[in-house]
Order: sequence, then C-alpha cells, then structure tokens
Amino acid sequence: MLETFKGLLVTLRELFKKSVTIPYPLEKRETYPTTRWLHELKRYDNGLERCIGCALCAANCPVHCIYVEAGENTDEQRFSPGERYATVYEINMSRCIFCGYCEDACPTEAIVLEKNYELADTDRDRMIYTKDMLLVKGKGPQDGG
Amino acid sequence: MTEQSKLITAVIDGKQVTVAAGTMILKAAESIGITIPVFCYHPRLTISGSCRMCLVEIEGGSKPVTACSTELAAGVVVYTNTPTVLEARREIMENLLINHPLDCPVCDKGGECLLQDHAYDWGPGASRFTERKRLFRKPIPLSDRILLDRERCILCTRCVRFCDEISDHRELAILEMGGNSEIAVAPDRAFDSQFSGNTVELCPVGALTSTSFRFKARPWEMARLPGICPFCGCGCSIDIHTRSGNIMRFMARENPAVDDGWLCDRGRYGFDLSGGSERLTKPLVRKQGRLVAVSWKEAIATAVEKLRRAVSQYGPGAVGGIGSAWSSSEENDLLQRLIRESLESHNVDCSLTDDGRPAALALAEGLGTFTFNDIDRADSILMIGADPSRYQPILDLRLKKAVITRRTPIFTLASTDGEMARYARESLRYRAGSEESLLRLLTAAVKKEKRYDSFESDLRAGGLSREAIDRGLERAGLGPRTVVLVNASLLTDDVRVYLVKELVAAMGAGASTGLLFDSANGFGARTAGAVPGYLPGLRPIDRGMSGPEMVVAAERSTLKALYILNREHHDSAAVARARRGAELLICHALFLDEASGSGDIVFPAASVFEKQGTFTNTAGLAQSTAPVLNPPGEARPESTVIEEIMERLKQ
Repeated sequence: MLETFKGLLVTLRELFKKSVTIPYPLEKRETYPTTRWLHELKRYDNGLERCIGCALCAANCPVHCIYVEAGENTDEQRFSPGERYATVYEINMSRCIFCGYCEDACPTEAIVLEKNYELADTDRDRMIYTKDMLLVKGKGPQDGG
Repeated sequence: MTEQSKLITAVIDGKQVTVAAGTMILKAAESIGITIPVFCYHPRLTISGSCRMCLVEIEGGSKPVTACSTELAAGVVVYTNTPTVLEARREIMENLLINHPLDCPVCDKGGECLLQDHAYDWGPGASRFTERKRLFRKPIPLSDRILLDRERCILCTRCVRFCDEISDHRELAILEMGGNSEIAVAPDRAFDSQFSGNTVELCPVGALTSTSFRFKARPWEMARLPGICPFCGCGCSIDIHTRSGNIMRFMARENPAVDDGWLCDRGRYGFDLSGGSERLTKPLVRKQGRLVAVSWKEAIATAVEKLRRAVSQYGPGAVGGIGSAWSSSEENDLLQRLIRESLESHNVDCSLTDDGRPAALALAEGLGTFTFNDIDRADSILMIGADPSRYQPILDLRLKKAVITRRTPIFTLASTDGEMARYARESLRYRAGSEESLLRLLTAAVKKEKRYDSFESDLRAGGLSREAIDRGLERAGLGPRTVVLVNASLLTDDVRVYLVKELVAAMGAGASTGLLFDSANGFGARTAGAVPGYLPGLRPIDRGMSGPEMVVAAERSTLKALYILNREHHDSAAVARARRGAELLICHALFLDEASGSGDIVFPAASVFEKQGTFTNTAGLAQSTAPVLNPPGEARPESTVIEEIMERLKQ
C-alpha cells in the first residue's frame, strides 16, 4: 500500500517538471552540427553549379541510390565551369542511408548533406529526388541568370 | 636451325626465361608473368621506345634500358624492380604529370586510364610542380567523330603509328618540337579514315575522345558483354558496353581469325539502330483498312488463319517467304521451314531485289572456302569486283597488312574506284555489266589459251584487253597459292558461278576463293536454306520463285501471300510493288514506316542486340551472339513468332 503511494508521488512530481517532448511539427528541435539529412547540390558564388556530373558519388554510394547522366557545356549554355555538367542527377531517397560517402567522394564539394529531415512521403515515385529538387536555388543559366 | 628460331636463356627478376633470340625484354618478361608498365608500347604497333616508362636494369649495364625495344641477350640478368628502376618510373611519372591536367573526374578515360593506373602504382604520390601548367583550348575536333585534348596528351604516338602502319591513311602527325609538340591532323589532310575510332581505343589517356561516347557513362558503370558486330560481312568481335538498357559503345575484342583487334567506324559507331524513331511495341493487324494494335494471341491466330486460307484457296505456289541476309541463320532456317514444311511452297529467298541462288550454288560448288588468315599466307591475291575498303573494312586492313609486311602482290579488277587499287601491283577497270566476258577472258589468260572470242570485243569496248590482263597476271604472279576474292553480288546467274569455278580450278589446287558479302549473314542465310532450290546445308530441293520473281508475281497477283522477315533490310520500293497485287503481306519490323505500315499483319521485332542468333561471316566463320538488351514493350524475337505459327499450322 505504501509502495503504491511512493510510486504515485513520483508521477505527481514529474507532472510539474518541464516536458521533454515537443509539439512537433509546430515546434522543431535544433539539429546537431554534424547531422546528415537531405542532400543539396551547391553552387559557386558566381551562380555556376559545382557539380560536374563525374558520378563518383554514384560510384561510392553503398546502396546505389544515385543516378547521374552527364552532358557537355557550351559557351551559349553553361551550367558549370569546364566541359562537363550533370544533365540528370537523381537520388532515390527511400534507399539512401545518409552515410555521406557521396560527400566524401565529390571532387568539387558539390553535394552536401544538409539538415532537412522531413522526407516522409506516401508515394514512392516522389521519393526520387531530381536535380532541380536537390540544386540550391540561385542564379544559374536555367533560372534566367 | 635458323638464327631467328634459336632459343636463348636469361634471368629476369631471379626467374629463368627461355625465349626465341630477338625477343624484347618486355615480351620475355610477360611470358613469365612479370608485367612492366608501358605507355607507348602496343603489341600490334611498331616499337617507339619514346615514353621511357618500361626502363629496366641489366646487371653490369651502365644505365637503365627500355624493355620494349631492347632484345634479351643470352645469359643476361635483368631486374625490373630495383630502387634505380622504381626511381626512374617515379621520375617519368612526375615528368608526365607536370602538364597533365587533374581533370580525371570529367575525363572519359577516367577509370580505364593507363596514366591514372601507373600514377597510382608507380607515381611519386605528390607533385613538386607549383608553376602554371601548359594550357590549350580543349577539346579541338580532329574530325566529326574524334576530339583531341592536347593538355591530356602524353605524346606516346600510338594514334600516329596506327594511321601510319595499320590504316596507312597517314592523317595524324606530331607538329612542332620538344615541349611544344602536339598531335594534329597533318597539314592539308582530313582525318576521315574509316578506322579513325581505333585511335580513341588505342589512346592510353583521355586525349582522344569520340563525340558519340563523350560524357555518356563512366567505364565502371557499364556492363560489358561479348558480341559480334552486325554491320557488314566481316563479323568482327566486339565488346558491347551497356548502361541502364542502352548501348553506350562498342569496343574491339581481338579475334585473330577476323579482326586482329581493330574495328571500323561503321561498326564502332553504328549501334544506334533507332534513327530517332519510335520502336514498334505491339502487334498490328489490319481491320477495315486500318492497322490496329492487338494482342499477340490474336495477331498470331490471324496470321495462321490467313496463311491457311491463302494456301487452301490458291495453292501453296501462291505463298512466298523472304528471309534476310541480315538476320541470323536460325531465323532464316525457321522462315524456310515455315514456307517449305508448313505451307508446302518452294518460294523462299533472302532478298526482294536479288536472286540469292547463284551465290548459294557457288558455296555448294566449293567456292567461298577462304579464311581471313589465308590472306596472311597468300602468295598473291586476285580481286574481282570487290571493294573491301568500302564494304568489308576489316578485310581491307588485312589486305594492307599483307601488302605492307609481306609485299603480297594484288591484282584488282573492278568497275568502280576502290582504295585497294592503290595497293595493287596491277589494277584494271572494266565496264559494269561485262563481268561474264571478263571472267571468260581471265580464265583463258590463266590457262594461257590463245582463243580470241566475241567476249573480247565486249571488253575492248570497256577499255580492257587480253594484253592488259596477261600483264596483270604476270606482275601479280597468280598461281596455286592465290586467294581469289569475288564480290558475291556479281554472281547474278549460274554461268558466272561456273566461270569463277573454272577460273579458280585453272589456278591450280590450293587456290582459295572468297565470296565477299556486304551483309552480316549473306553466307549464313544461304547455308540456312533461305534461297530458291537449297535446303539448310545446301542440299538441293525443287526450285521455287526467287525474290525478284516473287515481287513481279505479287504485283501481278499470281503470288497472293508474302511473309517478310526483317523488313528494315529490304528495299522499300520492292515491298511497295509487291503490296500492289498481294492479298496478304505479313512482316516483322522494328519501326512503323511506309513499307511495314502497308502490311496486313506487322509483328514488332527484336533488334539484333535483343536476341540470340548465329551469323556466318563472309569467310564462312559461324559466330553466335547473345542478347544484350531487352526488346521494348511486347516486341518479340522473330524466331519465337515463326515457331508459334508453325506449331499452330500443324493443328
């Protein structure tokens, strides 16, 4: 009988303490600096894409969730410095394990795993993230810049 | 024992090696499993010795020597891994990497690059070069197909040597000197050789790239499957590289019996069969005048019913089948069985425009026995109406090799300009159409008969005389070990076949004859029995209509039903003519064009890369291919469709 009251006393005490859960998604927790979530394809300061379509990220990916096709820059239509750019860049987010090996392999530091972790979806097709979904918005030729 | 075949013994890296005298250190080391790194050395090109990567040390020698160009001497002791050798390799690598750009991630060669591999294995690991690298505009086009990146070039001269020694077109050269040296198209020349793609494959770095493969895929992403090139009668061995259901490129796969490891540009860059149009993916059947997509079950049932009705209504003679010299032997065999066994007709051929029979007769008469290796051994070569440079390019390289390395005399007789005429001791032109007279005169000349017949006046009109032929025969020294190459399409009737046979017999035993087919399986379609009058294995049978005769008969509505295999390789005008009078036209087609669209039943076919099959090249070598892709949609290999129709016709 006494033990029951002792137990309930703990419950009562906890009731007045600050809650450890948060009302997600109204409120979001701060992420750790090294956390790895959704990839971003970065740009240089001048707006050109860093990605050159070399597909080393795809080669290094342990779950083969990256697919890259490359094309050739022309002087009229330039996407990245040099000769080569990615025409197709797709990541199958339902396969990705967010290991960050793609980031390690990238010779131009184009791909970076950032902090957006809200990736759940009800449609598998929508889990294929295409280049325009991954590329950070900015001034590139395709944005009229 | 001659000096050449004398064996010597020496020691390489502590291992004893016994090789023929005159063997280079590199090859001797290779024979006992010791690999020495190289750049400029290539087993099928002459030795250059310019890259210095293969330096090795000989005991008692004053300085390292190049293994590729130094003969192994009896009793010497060679080391390939001493500190001096490793230091030399490091220095060569450092020197090469001074100007080589660090663009491996964008380079097409990255992943299969000798420089990359050697830098990893033997390079210094870090660069001491802090100055500015040599910069060039990149890439610059050498031709429509080949691009050059001068920054990446290490000046191994493999491409130059290929053009000088193998294709003998001599289009590439090194311009400037020393540090300013660069590969370029020789002044006043165009790099338009039909073998230019080989230079890309030979290039040890990514200096030469092809426009068709540029940035298409990384080497490690592709599946590599062995195949046979289906674009001419040579049947070269290839490696087909595919990525996610698409063919990315063809690479040569060495087959000493056919291609010597080379490939022509038609084969290398011809793999895009689509031509940009949409493939047929569903069977089509004509209903109320329009082609409607139906199920396979319905399409085959319709074909069976209509074929059966045509035979019962008009008799088996009113049905005909056209195989194809570009389809596999299995498909041609099935087609002739469908016509001969299931429909009991004799109307089978492999072309709508040419009678396939004479060439089959020639094969049955024992002509067409040559192999590509016969060219290497031949005392002399006689070419009649043949233009291998255009129609059998790899044979052209074989002939050039014989002329360049063995000075084999060639005597060409042709009605058009051909590249081989430049290599011939004697080359004569005849007027197209006078082939029969030519063969008669040639035979008379070989037999040294003094007959002058009416056929000579025929030739004189074309500017050819007995004296000229006698001179050609004498200069080329035709005799028992001559290879006679005859353009198969000249054999338009039986008379010509017997004339060629007589000519070869007159040369004496040992002479071999090659029938040169332009098509991938001209030889095999005939031995598979898709010709009038011959069953598979060239066993004679009653002769029905030939292809051209069937077209005429169909136009006049005496032939009621026509079954066409491989529509894409038949003349559209002939199909249209046959369509005019035929009641039933069934075809297997890859695309819906005017000709296939005029059919009553159109089966979506599988392309040559999507099915299994045997192709017999122009030298009689049968080679099998396996599928590397899946047919699109519901398209099916022709053989399975014909088999099913035959099965249903039995019921």
